[in-house]
Amino acid sequence: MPALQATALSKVYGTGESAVAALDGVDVSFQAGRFHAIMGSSGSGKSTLLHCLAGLDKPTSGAVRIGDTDLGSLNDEKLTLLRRDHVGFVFQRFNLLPVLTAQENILLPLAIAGRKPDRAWFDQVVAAVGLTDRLGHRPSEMSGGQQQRVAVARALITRPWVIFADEPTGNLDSRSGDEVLGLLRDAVSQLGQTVVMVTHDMHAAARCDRVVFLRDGRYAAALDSPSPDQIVAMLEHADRIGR
Amino acid sequence: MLSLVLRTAKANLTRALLSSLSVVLGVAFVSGSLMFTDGLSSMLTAQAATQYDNVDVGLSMESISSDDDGGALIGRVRKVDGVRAAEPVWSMFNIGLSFDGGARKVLGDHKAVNVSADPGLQPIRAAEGRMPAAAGEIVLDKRTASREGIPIGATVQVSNFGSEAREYRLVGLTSSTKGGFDTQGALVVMATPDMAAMAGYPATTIVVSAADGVSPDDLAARLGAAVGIEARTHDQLVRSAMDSAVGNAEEFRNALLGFGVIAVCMAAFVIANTFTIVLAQRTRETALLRLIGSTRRQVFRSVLVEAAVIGFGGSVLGLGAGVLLALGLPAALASVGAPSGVTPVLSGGTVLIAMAVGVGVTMVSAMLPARRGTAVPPVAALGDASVQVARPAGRFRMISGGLVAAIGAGLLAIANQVGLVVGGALLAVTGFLLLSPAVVPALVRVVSKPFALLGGATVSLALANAVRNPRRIATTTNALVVGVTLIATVTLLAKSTEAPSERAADEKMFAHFLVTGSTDTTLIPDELATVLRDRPEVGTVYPSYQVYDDALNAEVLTAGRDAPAQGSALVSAGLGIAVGGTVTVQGQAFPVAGVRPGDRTVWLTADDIKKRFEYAFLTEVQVEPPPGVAEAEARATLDRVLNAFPSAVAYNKAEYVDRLNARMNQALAVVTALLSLAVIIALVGVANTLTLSVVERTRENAMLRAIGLTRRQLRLTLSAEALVMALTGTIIGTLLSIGIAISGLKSVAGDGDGLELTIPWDRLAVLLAIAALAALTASVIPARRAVRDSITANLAAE
Repeated sequence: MPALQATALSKVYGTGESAVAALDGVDVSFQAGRFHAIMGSSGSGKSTLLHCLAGLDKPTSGAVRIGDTDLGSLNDEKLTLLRRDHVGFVFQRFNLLPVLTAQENILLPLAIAGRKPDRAWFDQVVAAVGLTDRLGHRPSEMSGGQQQRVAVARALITRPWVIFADEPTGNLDSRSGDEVLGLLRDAVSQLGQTVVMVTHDMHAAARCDRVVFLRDGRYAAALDSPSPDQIVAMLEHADRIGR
Repeated sequence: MLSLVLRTAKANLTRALLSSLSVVLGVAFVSGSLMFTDGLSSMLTAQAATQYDNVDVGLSMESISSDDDGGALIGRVRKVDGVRAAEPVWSMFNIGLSFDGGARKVLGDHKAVNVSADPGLQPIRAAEGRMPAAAGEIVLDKRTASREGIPIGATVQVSNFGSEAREYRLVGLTSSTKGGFDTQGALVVMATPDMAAMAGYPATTIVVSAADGVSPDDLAARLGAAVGIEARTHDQLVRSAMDSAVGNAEEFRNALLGFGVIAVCMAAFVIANTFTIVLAQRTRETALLRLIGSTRRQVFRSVLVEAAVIGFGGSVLGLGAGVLLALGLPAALASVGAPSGVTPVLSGGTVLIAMAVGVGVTMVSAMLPARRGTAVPPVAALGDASVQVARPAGRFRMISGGLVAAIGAGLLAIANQVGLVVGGALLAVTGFLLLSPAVVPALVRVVSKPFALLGGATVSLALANAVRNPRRIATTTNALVVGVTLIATVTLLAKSTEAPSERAADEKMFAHFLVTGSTDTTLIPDELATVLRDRPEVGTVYPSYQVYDDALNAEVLTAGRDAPAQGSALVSAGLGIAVGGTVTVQGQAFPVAGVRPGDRTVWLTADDIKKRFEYAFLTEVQVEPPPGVAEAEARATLDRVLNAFPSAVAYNKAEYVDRLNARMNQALAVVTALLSLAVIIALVGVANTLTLSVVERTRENAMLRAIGLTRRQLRLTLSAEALVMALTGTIIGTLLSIGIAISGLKSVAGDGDGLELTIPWDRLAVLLAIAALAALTASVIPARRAVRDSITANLAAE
């Protein structure tokens, strides 16, 4: 069973003549325990797809299932609780609360839920992201890479069904970016997590198990464990058939 | 550049509106006060003018020489050629008024006047019924009659302090009032013979109506020559009456404007804070302008123009709100004696002042933030300015703040006069304001501890947010601190001076009942004591007299409690006579039995005062019912006797304490209402800060929502933030006010009559509850804004 599935997903912004379809009937599914990438040129709808999959945005039509839960059947409150308990997020930037320390940021989803952290799991996650000696620091005292590692730890702390990453390396230098990708990769390979990442970086995508391509708001193609060259070729091909 | 400013203002309409709201309130108060007092002034001058209707010339003398019986003078005046009619007139106070056979007494400082039977010489007209035409008829002002429910045709009793009460029939009502500020007192209009009998002395004023074809100027000159007394024409009389009426209105206006100034200062706080925040958020925009070649001066000027636009908009709205306020003020102020029925007057001057205040205050308040906020290097446009590091408070500010606060506290500690207390209070508050960026966040952390324990992570987050910019939270709470300090100080002082009224009543009242005049200043007739003594069923009677001994240059009073024995005296320390010495009063030497604190006072028994002085004022009478008589019965007996004395009212101890407190409570309520505007403006500031924080934290909040914060929880964090700010501000303000109140009470303690600080916990609790509630309300709109937009849109926000 797929961890995540979108059926005939459409998202239209605006109404009447000014209406723009960001997603136009996308059918796609994501297997559990794998590292997925969503790629496409600017305006292909990849971010909108991620937002709809994660329950941050309501699709105009179509359905999204996380596990066996149909997001369309949830009201805002239930959707929020689902995100809180079963979904993890890593964003491009401004990922952390500046007023909280690294530890507090990591534990934030649990704190919001009013739950006690599992100490062993916390230690394991913190060790995995290499932040053991940085827990008392605030975001302003950390580098961009360190901040993003805190964000990854925060996404892992609830053992979510799926982690969504929106251009997680977009604001980082290549070394820090590699580290963060490595962490996500390890989360999948070693902890059995499911990760869905939007990226335009083919090197990032090349570390994934599967890459889904979008074009003009539609599903275009998918590649399993592609090399960077295959990705470039696919993007060019997608561009060509788009003209 | 101007069009850019206007566009910026338009784009930031919510922020502009919020910052202008404080301007609106401040301007509304100032312009409302002006409109009200202009209306008051015109009403009072109109009143002043109508009191001389039908009077062509007025004669008034300092006193009537004792050889003139009054009758002779009026006869001479009437004989002067050109006089159509002349009438002696009296204005009498210390009037007692009752009805229902004396059982129902009208409380208040009443005024009695008389009118001629000649309608051509009556300045007062009857609105219902008719004017008194003969002895035994009177007219009352309509307001009093309808308030007390006295119908035309009823029998009322009127007395003054020197005469027995007489019965009159109410024949009409007038819409004239006693005039001036006191709304409680009645106007009693009598026929001349009744007034002459009641007064018992000749009138010092004669009003004259001129014969046809004789001008007032002519007549005044003729009268002056004929009787040798200064005669003034109608116009002169009206002018001088108007002048004093305008003076009264001006005093009132200045008091109101004092509160207006406070409100405007609060608004200035809020505006300055708003501009600081807005400009901080616009750093990138400002830097961009600088990058493409605007000079810093241009950017600075554009901010000031923006302030002027906001100030102007606020002033226009404020003027509108001021009209509403002016319509509402009479009701609010009626209890401190403002006359009702004032029609607000909007003059061109008021409009100009409102505009000048609104625009001026906004621009001046924006000046400092504008100077700081535009000092942005162009390169900031290129960096990521979204995370701003809060600038720590400067060392100079901290040191000077500490010094000023210390001096202020020192002054408060040693103050022995009111001026020092005020100075100390101003310095202490200023010092606190300087220290606030350090003090307020620290206090917020303390205040928020219990909340954090109760509320969990969501609330902890709110509290962390609250103190993330120490300057901002300090400035936000400062406005509240000042407002609360004002209100709490007034409340504490009022309640502390009120508390002794119970003690005062205890000290004064040794008997069960106290009989005094119907107002604090009304004198009671001397014979009341005699009449009460003749009625043994009433109980034991203890009259208190007051008289001034010119020879001794001292006040002579009846000693109430701990009275000396007959024939001996107590003296105040200021007279310098020791126990065992003697004090000579009116030729009799009294051995001194004791010394009390005070300046120049001698206490004797009531009998000794009556014996030594031909005339002494009866100030009050205490009555102890006979043993074994129940309170209700004793009271009924006493009241039956008092029915013959309209101006005398009996109180038991609880009633007397109530009476002592009533006036204070009314005044306190009005002052609190006027000051609460300052607090409302401060709370607008809280809402303002929250809104701007929400805008600033758009992406943070979106991220929180993404990782699972529900809408309700997000609202809760903002409410908690507002609550903590409000509570901290209220607590600081209350602490400051306690310090000021202690010092103030100490400074007036003077002659050993120490006032202790009474903390009215109930009122302070109400103040705290109101601040908390208002803060929660203040967080509603920002919270709605925070949860309104979609998460994805906010995540992408700049």
